Amino acid sequence: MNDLIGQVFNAIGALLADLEAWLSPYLPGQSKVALLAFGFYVLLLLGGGLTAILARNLVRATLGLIITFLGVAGFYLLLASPFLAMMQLLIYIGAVCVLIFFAIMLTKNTSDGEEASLPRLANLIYAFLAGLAPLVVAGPLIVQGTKDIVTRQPVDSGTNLGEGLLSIDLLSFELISIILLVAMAGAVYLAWRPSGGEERA
Amino acid sequence: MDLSLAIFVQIIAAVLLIIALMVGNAVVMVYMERKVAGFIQRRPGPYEVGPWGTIQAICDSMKLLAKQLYRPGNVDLILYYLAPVLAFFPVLLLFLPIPFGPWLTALHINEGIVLILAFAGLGVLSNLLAGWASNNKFSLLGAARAVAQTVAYEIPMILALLAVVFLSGSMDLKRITEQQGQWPWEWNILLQPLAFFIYLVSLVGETNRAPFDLPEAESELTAGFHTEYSGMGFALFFLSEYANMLLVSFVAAVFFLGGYKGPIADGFWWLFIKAYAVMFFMVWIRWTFPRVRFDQLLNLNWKWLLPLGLLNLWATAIIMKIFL
Amino acid sequence: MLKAIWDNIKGLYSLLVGMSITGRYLLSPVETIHFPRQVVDDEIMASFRGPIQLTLGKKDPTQTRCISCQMCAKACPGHCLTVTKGDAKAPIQWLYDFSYCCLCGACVETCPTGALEFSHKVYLVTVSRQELILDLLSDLKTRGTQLGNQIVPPVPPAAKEASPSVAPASPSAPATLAAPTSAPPAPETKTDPPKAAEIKPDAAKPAQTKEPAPASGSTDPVAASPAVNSATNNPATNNPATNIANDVKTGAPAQSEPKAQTVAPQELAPATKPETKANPVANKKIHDHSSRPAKKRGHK
Repeated sequence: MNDLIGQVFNAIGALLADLEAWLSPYLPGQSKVALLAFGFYVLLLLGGGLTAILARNLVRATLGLIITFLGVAGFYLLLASPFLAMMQLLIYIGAVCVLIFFAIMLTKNTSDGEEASLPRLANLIYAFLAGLAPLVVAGPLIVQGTKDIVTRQPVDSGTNLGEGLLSIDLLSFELISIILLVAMAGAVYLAWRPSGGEERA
Repeated sequence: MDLSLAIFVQIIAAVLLIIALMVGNAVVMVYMERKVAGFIQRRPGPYEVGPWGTIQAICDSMKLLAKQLYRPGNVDLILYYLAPVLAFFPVLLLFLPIPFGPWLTALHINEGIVLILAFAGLGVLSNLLAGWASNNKFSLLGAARAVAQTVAYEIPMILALLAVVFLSGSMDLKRITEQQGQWPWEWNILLQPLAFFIYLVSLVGETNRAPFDLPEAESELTAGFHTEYSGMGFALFFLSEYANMLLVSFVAAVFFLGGYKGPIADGFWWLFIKAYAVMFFMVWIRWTFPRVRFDQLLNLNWKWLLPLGLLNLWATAIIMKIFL
Repeated sequence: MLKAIWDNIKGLYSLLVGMSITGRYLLSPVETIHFPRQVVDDEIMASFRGPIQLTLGKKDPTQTRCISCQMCAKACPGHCLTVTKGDAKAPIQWLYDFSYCCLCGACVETCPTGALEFSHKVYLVTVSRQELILDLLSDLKTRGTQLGNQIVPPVPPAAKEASPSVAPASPSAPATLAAPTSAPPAPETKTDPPKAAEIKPDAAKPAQTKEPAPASGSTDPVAASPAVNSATNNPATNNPATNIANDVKTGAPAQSEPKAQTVAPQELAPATKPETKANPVANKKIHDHSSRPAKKRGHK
């Protein structure tokens, strides 16, 4: 029964491949599809970023941040690192944004506070220039260094990441885990109230 | 992942079939839950509508479709309407990497389990948005609790699944299925019983099912984060909850119970039988145990499940390195 | 620390015990019955406290024992009862607003003549508030004349299990025009006073009143008042047979000395009146059943 299903699917796949070969002069090629995806992710990034900055409501701003992270995950996909894309979703959207949400929802944020109003024009110009600076300085460096990324063979990102973390970059891996441990210990210390005792400063 | 036409058509067809599966599953699950609840309580459950009450669930869904969409006055419109949609769509994507049969995997990627875990995080967001957008303190509290619980129970889940990934050496769901045998004594449950137990408990906690259902407890928080939703909005939350249950049951079946492999004939029927057995178990648990208090819930997770999961992972790693 | 771990493992075992209990219940037969297709036994319905009704008169089943003393109206916490006194002691109008009734039984307990009792009308259905204001006198007339005309269905099986003193009289009760023949058996059963004494006082009424009833020759059973009790005339009730049978049981057969025994048990235990309806309990001892419904469930 399963062999039968397999044969049926193979036959359908062959048919579709023939169809695609026949249609290919008229369909956009693979690079065009990648371009479409790129454009979509850029839209997500910019739209999300603008929402995060310009929204009056803090929760909507966080939603914009989430959309931005989705766009970044899309970029990781385009760079043939599906593992990193999933990790981006899992960690940034699933954990970091949730924590930001908690901080916003459970604290008092008035809708007419100073975050809600647009900043002064001078501040806007300064902010724009500050955003432009890394682009102008670091951008050409990055582009120079990764010129061959388009022709590089994609690798299984999960395996490579694992091997790299545990052999070449072992020191940084351990240091990062120590930082996380210190952060957790600090959080526990700050929140800890000994039973029956007074709150620690 | 090349973007040829065949894969494109495959994904579209798979998404349509998965939508059908989700809706069908909700109908079946509603019926099964009410019947099993009735029989446990020594009463018949639905029996009037249709033979043995089978059409009851369909009538319920028609009622939900036809209900007036009533919302409170000063809700944040975009967030209010986005929340149920955000609850529904990621669950759809989660069914893609599951191997329904030897040839029936919608999207065969090497990091199947990571995809599942990643998009489960998006489901968490919908709870938060629903709770916030309802402009209601109870909903907000329910949402905060739901998110704290879901995020907490994801971790033992990941640890339990990681133990199996250690054994199989791959995160690909199809390869994990292939490495288990046909007969029950060849399944992963015998190799990782503690991981299976941890996974079962965190399964119940992850999907906000009783006895861990404080966020949506009717008697405590007036339905929690989906208080203010009626009709189709509530139906979408409901649907996504049952789809989530089905999904984690599928993952349990694939990782621990042998997936589509079975004694007589390999195929998608075995996967469904196993997944529905796990879901029957979840329904059984729901009508047996009283609700757990929220701090007890989180205590259970952080003080028991997480250390046990780490211990299990450590033991697996040592045994694998030394003996295998 | 180890103790905590061991406690938790023991706790896990208790979880398994709990699941085995529900698992066992899962596989056991259901306890409920499917209502329209099956009904609960009349034996259980016999202790059901439905809307109150006037007890059938001793001499004339259509005449009430009520003396319009207004004790029930004063006792009622919901002020449901309206008794209008006529020239004689008997009331000329007796209205009972069931929409305010909480079935507490204060009126039944307070009545000095035993004129009130709980009915067994389980299937009372009305479609408007007005219909819930029941006119008990016309209901009494309906029941009394129905009894008199022997327009009753076959004897409910419960009655056949009654005491032997009851048995001879009961088959004659449903006989259509055999009313006069019921009179001779009636005096015969006076010969077993101990058993008859156990039988509730209200059971005595209709056997005596069977003579006057056919003699009075009132053949129109149905009262024409608009506020007639819906249950007795409502064709929609599921078992009009059972309803009337229930009402018949009030009067069904067993016979005892009219006044002496009717009065004495009343003074003893007015709250036992609800028991009088059921023939199966005719053989049981009098015990105080004031407010406890039967615990067992019927399963037809």
